[in-house]
Formats: sequence, structure tokens, C-alpha cells
Amino acid sequence: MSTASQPQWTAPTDRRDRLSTGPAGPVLDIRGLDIAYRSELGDVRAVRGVDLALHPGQIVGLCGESGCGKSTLAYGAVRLLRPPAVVTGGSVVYRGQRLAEGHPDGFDVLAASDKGLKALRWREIAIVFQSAMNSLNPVLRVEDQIMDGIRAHMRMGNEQVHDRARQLIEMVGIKPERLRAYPHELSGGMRQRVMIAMALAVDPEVVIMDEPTTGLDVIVQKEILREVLDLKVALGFSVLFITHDLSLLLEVADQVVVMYAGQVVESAPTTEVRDGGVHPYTRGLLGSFPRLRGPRVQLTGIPGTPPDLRATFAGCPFHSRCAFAAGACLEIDMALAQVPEAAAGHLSACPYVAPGVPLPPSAAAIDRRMGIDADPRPARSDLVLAGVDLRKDYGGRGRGRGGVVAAVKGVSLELRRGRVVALVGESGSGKSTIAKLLSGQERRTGGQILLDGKEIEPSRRSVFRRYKSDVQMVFQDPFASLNPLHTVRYHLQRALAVHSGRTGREASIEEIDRLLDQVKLNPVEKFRDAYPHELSGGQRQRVSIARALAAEPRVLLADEPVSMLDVSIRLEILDLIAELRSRFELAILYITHDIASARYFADEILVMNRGEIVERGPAEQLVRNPTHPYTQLLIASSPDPDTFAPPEPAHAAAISTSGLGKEVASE
Amino acid sequence: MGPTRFTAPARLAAKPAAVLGSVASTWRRLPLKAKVGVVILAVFIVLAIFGPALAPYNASAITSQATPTPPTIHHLFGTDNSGGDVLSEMLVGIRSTVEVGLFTGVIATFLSVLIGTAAGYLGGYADEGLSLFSNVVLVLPALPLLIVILAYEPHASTFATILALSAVGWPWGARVIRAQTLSLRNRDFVLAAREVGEPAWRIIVFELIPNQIGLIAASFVGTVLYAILTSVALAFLGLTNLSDWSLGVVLYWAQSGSAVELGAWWWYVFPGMAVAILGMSLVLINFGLDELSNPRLRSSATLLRVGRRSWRPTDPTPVVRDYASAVKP
Repeated sequence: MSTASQPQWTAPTDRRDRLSTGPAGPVLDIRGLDIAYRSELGDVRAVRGVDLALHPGQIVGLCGESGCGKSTLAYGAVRLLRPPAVVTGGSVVYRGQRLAEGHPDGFDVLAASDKGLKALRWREIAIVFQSAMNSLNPVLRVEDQIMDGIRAHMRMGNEQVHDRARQLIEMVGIKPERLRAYPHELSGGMRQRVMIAMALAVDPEVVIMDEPTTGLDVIVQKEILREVLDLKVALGFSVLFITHDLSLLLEVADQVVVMYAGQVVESAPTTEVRDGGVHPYTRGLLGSFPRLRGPRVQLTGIPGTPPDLRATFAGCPFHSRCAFAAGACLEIDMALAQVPEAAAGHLSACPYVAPGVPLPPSAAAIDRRMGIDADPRPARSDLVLAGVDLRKDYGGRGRGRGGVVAAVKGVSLELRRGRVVALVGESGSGKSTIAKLLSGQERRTGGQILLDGKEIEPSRRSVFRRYKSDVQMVFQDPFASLNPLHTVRYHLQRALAVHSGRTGREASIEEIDRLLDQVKLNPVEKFRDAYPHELSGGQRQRVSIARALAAEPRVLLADEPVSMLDVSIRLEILDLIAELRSRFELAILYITHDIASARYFADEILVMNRGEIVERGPAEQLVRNPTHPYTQLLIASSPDPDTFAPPEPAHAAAISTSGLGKEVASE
Repeated sequence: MGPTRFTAPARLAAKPAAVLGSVASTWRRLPLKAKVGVVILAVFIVLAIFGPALAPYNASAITSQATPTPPTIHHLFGTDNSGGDVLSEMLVGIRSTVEVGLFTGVIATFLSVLIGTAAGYLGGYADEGLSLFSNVVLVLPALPLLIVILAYEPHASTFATILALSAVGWPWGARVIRAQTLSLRNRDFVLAAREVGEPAWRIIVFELIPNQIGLIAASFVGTVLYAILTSVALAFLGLTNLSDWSLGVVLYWAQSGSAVELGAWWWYVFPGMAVAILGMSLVLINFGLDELSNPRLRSSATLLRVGRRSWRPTDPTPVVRDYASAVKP
């Protein structure tokens, strides 16, 4: 089958020639773009005078935390945003080969008519949307969805459309038989591949990828990124790659653009950013990523929260969170300027900080436990909670029927006073099920749970409340784990009252303030009567932790406590948990998909795959010398700011010549 | 104390001024439809309270007159075949119709919230049992059943009508609320409340019910509408105490007095319109509540007007270069 396919899908030769002669001019040129969202509470100026140039064959990475305007910028540039979003200024010019004749000066996107935009979208600029689950129509076969896209833009016979769909799906590494599948029959990674195939269906020159791998496991993520790089080389399109994960960009992008509060703060060739970046915000982001390779380095994080974009601010929007901040920061105009002594094209909005200037010591102060020499806890402290040979099966009720899914297959773990055990695994590995078993939310199918050496059945109603005073849980999503209708005070008051055994009791202000102070929500008066929607994600997670602490537990089960938070906030929360661990000698189970954070945060790491622990060991040792093949793959697939993967021309060439029927082993 | 907030019910009880402020701010947020609906409903409620006092004639008075007379300056809505003033009959009758609607609404909604949340939250056998019960009540043919129940007591009082309507009127609401509870109960904040150790009744009353207040309100309004229409239908069929005036009873007498054959349109058009307008006000309120709880339904015309034109949601992103002047004329 692979031998029969012809490499018809390689780029037209003229476009390849253009690539080989080097960048002629940007294929997508955005200048001074302003985008606002109209709102009754004042307009949100989400994008403020952004310049961005995408050159043919390049991958430009657009990165920043949630709400920085990166997606607004990309969708606004192709005018896909719905009113009340309004483009209020700037220019967007597209210079594609196919439109070159009709539009010698480039295609002015902002002046284009409805019809003009229809010709532009998909045919010239295609988009891979973030959530492949929601972007595919669940009642249509994959084949029909791909063919619909082709038919909308190309005049082709039915046979040709079929052939094209086949080619496309092979191109992204899926067997053509799967064309008959419905989206729900495909894995997350495969769905994302289908989305990429659809985006490439009519041979666009620019592909906008909006968080194309967010929500996928690292191993699949790595495969898909590899795929995108190979296809880019073979087909010669350009990519605007949007992500919140700077470390990912360092692996795939040629140029990195960092946005903060609607403005570009740094734009640089990837190698320059990899060497540390210049703008304090870029540095803060880089310092927030725990590293997997090399020695442990000091992590810094970024204190504070981003500004409200409804406001107009003078000078640098980052100055209130910046370690270098000085009075002059309030007067700069945020214009990008070439960084002295750096490579050409390395622009920064901060005129004061030069490359290589070390962070002032105040920036490192965030870090106590997560630093270079996190002191290893004594290995033999008291055992508090243990799971022995835990098993959990789902489904298959009734006799003799199949369909039983074993989510957890005999897992043993020990939580000791003052020690953090990390449970690392991909989605579906059963790691969250273990949290549910240990917290008593679900009843186990087999095995034992031992509290202080005595067997206990936490899900039994009579035991549950007593058990809760020893074992508490912190939830993943701080936006969902607080009732939007109740104040912080109510949440903490209830936890204190229930713990004291008299559910009707009103907890005193002092007790509530003590809890708020423990999680560093200061000044307490400001947070006591706040509603959840008035708090940022990090603050909500602190409330959630305070609620767990109200019971004065000895064990804390933290199920992905920071995965929903922005990168710069994560460190603060982990640092807080680490501090509480030392202060109250908590035994902590830290469940995560991110093995790098486990390296910094945990004493011991358990790697879980398909319901079983495949490898366990002291954190540092396990990360440096993984022995199980799965752990090795997991570590090799994790994006890491320190590993910059150079493009592999040999690999790409092999793909484009030797065949299309490449299958993906893991799926 | 912190700044006054207008959303916390607990604190409102202590501050009448805050209650007024809260009512005012809710009123401002209401869509126009709902405002119209609320005003009409308020007029009907005022008439229900003061109607009998306002009635120009004794509604039950019988004169020697034998044919209905069309509207005159003395009888604005005309008279019936025994000389009774139709306007007075309606003014007296609105009270009982509105009464049946509101009380049935309260009782049936209470039942549906109780059964719906309990079934949804408790799950297992409790859910199976309660769901089975509500499904059985749901598939009972309501109108024939009511006819049978009310025919059993020929001069059924308003109270009996309310009870009968409540008994068959709750399952729709219960099903909707159960479905909402099922989706809420797996939300993290409910799991977190369980994790804290809260007892089930507290989770239902303080976590689940406040989060579906919009749904409950909509269910209440819908039930009131159902009760009014059904009670009018039952009265029209004569299945009520015909010596007590209600809008349905006026229609019953119009029908039995051959109003259509006599061409006495005023006898049935005015009470019929009153029922229709009352029903419409409830429908408008329901639509308004829907929009309030689901902002996507709101057209928000003011936000979509930029520059000289308003933009449809399917339009490409508007480009307005002189934005500042375009927005603030």
C-alpha cells in the first residue's frame, strides 16, 4: 500500500524553490494590530499594537500565559473572532504565491470582503484548533469531514476527492482504513492528526496551530510535533504555533514571540531564547520550568498576577511582577528594539535589562524547598498511610459479562510523615483512581488500605468522616472545586465546623484568618469575604489547600494540584505545599503527569503505566538513571528547555521519499 | 466588615436597604420581555387582591333580564344572559384563578425540587425508586385523571383543585432538576464538600439547590402556567364549584348560555383574553429567565453595534479604525 502511493503531496516546485532561495519577505505580515473586546464593564484591550512577521517555511512560536492575547491575535489576524471583538487598528497583509497575481502588494486581510476572506481561509491560511475532540463533528465519519473541506475549496471529481482524503490520512500517519471511523473511535492523538490532515487538505501556505498538543500526553505530543516538522519540510508551509508552553517552542520553533498583557515583550530566534532570553518576563517563564536533564538548577517563578486588560497602563505592564523593576519602567513605551550584542532579529521591549545580567537575589527568594539542594527527607520516617496491592475494576456489572476494565492492577505505595511521594503517569494510567481509592471516594475492588498499620475501609459511611480528619485531598481544578455561590469564609467555616464534630458551630474569625495566613493569602481581610470569581486561579487553589488543612490532616492527596494553573503560578503553589509539608510534617501523595516537577518536588517517584507501577525510586536517581523502557520514553518525550532538537533533515527526507504508510506504533 | 455585596442571601436578611438594592439591580438586568411579563403579572396580582372590591356590580346578582347585552358605558364588558356584569364577574374571578396558579406552583415546585435533587444526589436504589415513581405519574393522562378526581367531589373547592393539580404537576420539573443534579453532583465543589465531611442534606440544601435556582424559578413559572390553563379548562368543563367565580367559571357559563350561538362575543372574548394575557406574561417571564441565566441567548444589541452598522455573529471580525469615535458618539 505504501509503495503504491506517489509523493503527490509534496509542495509545488516553485514554492520549494522559494524556500531554498531564503526568505523573500514575510508571507504573513502583522503590524501594529489592536484588538478589543467590547464589554459592559469597559472594553478589554486584548491585543495592543502587535507586530509579527511569519516568513515562508518558518515556524513562529507565539507564547504567553492565559489571557495574554496570543489566541486573540492569531484569530483576529484572519478575522475569525466574533463580535463583540473588534479590530481597532493596524494592518494584516498576506503575501501568498497563489494570490500574488491578483494582489501584487499583498492581500489586505483587514480590508477584505466576506468573499475575499472565504478564499483566504483554509485555502491559504488553515487552522488546527485546540481541542480536536470538539472540533470534529461526532456524527460524521472522519472521511466525510475531510472530504467536505476539500469540496468546499476545490473543484474535483468524487474519485479525486476520495484519493486526496486517503493521501492526507496516510500523510499524517494513520491507516486509510480508519477513514471510516467516527471521531470517538479514535484516540486523542489520532484526532489531532486528523485535524492536521484537514488543515493541510487544500495545500495552504500558512497553518495556524492553536495549542495543537495541549491535553495530549507527552509521548503522543512528541510524535505529533515530529510529524508537523516533517510535513513542514516536505510541503513547505509556514506555521504560527500558539502555546502556553515555552519549553515546547524551544523544540519546534525557529522564532519565538513572547506576549504579555496584549503586547509582545520579546521576539527572538529560538537559540537566543534557549540561552536565557533577555526580557525579565521571558526569563521568569524559563525559570519556572523544572528541568529534567542536567543538574538541578534554581527555579524562580514569577510572583503576582497579570494586570487587568481593561485598564490603560503607563509604561511596562510587567513592572509590578518584575525583579528588575525601577521607577523608569513606568515611562517606557514598550517599543521593541534590537538587543545590543545579540543576534540580529532579537528584539526586546525592555531597554534596561541586558543579556546575561543575573537575576537579583530577590527573585530567587520564592524558592525554599524546590531549589538546588532540596534536603532529602529521612527515608525511614513513620509510615502513615499505605496501600497494599490496590485493585480497581470498572464496569462489567452482572455475571459473566465482559467489559471489565482494570484501572488499577495491584499497586502498593507507602506515605510517610514529612515525605512527598510522586505518582507519575499519563492520562488513563490509573493515577487519579488511586487518589479516589485512598480518599474514600470510591471503593476498591481488591487490596488493603492501612492507616497507622490498621486496615480501614474509608468509603464506608461510618468510617468516612473520621478518616477525613487524617486524609484530605486537594483537587485539580481550582475553578471547579469552590462553590461559586459561597464566600471563602463559608468554605473554610464549614470545613472547620465539620472537623470540630459540631456541624452547626460557627468557626471564629481567628481560626479562619489563621488558615488564610497559613496559605499566604494576605492580607486576610481582603480574602475572607471574597467570592471565588473574584480570585485568580492561584488564589483559589490556596483556598482549596486551606480547606484541606482545616481538618489538620496528616496525609494530603494532591491530584494534579497545579496542572490547571499558569506556568508562572505553579511554582508558588508547589512551594507552598512543600512548606506546609515541612511545617506540619504532612505525608503527601503528589499525582502528576509532569515528571520534571516530580523531580523537584518529590522525595520518591512512582511511575505508573496502564494500572501498574513500572518503576519506583528516589526522585533524583530515577530521573537520572531510568531503567524501565517506559520511564525512559517518558523522560525522552518531555519537552525540556535545555534540549533543543535540531531539525533532522535526514529523517524528514526519509519520510518524503520512502513512503506514506507510516503507522504510529503507540496508537 | 467588607464592602456590601448584593448577592449573598444570608447577609441580605439583615439589611432591608440591601434587599431593595438587590431587587433593583436584578430588575435592571432583566431582559425587556421579562419586564413586560412581570408588569402584566403584577397587574393581575393587584387585581386578584383588590378585584372584588373594585367590581362595580355584585357579580352574582341576578336580574330579570333574559338576554346578554353588548358592552355599554354602564357595562364595559357587557352582561351575561341573566344580567350579570361580565367585568365584575372577571374581577371577582381572577383571584381564584391566580390563587390556583401560584399555590399549585409553590407546592408542585417544592415536590419536584425535593424529589429531583434527592433522586439525583442519592443515586442507586433511591434514584431508581423516585425516578420510577415520577415516570409513572408523568405518563398518567393528567386531564382525564383530574376529571375523575374532581368529578368525585362535584363541588370541588379551590383547595381541592390545588391539591389535585399539584399531585400530577410535579414530575416534569423533577426530571429536569434530577438531570441537572446529576451533572452538578460530580462537579469538584460537591466532591470537595463531601471531602470536607458535609452530611448529604447540607450538600443538597447549600451546594446543589442554590446552584440551580434559575432552573427552579423557570420550573415554577412553567408550573404556574400549567396550573392556570388546566384549572381554567377544568372549570370550563364544570368540574369546580360553579358558585365561586373564576375566569374558567365565566367561560363555563358563557358556553352553557350559548354565547356563541347568540353572538354574545363579549361574554367569552374578554375572559378568554384575560387567560391568554396572563399566560403570555408567564411565558415572557420564562423566556426572560432563560436569557438571564444563559447570556448567549441575549442579543446584546448594544455591544454588536459598532460604527454605523450592527454586526451579526457570523460576520468576520469587524474592523473599525476610528474606534474611539465610533463607540462613543
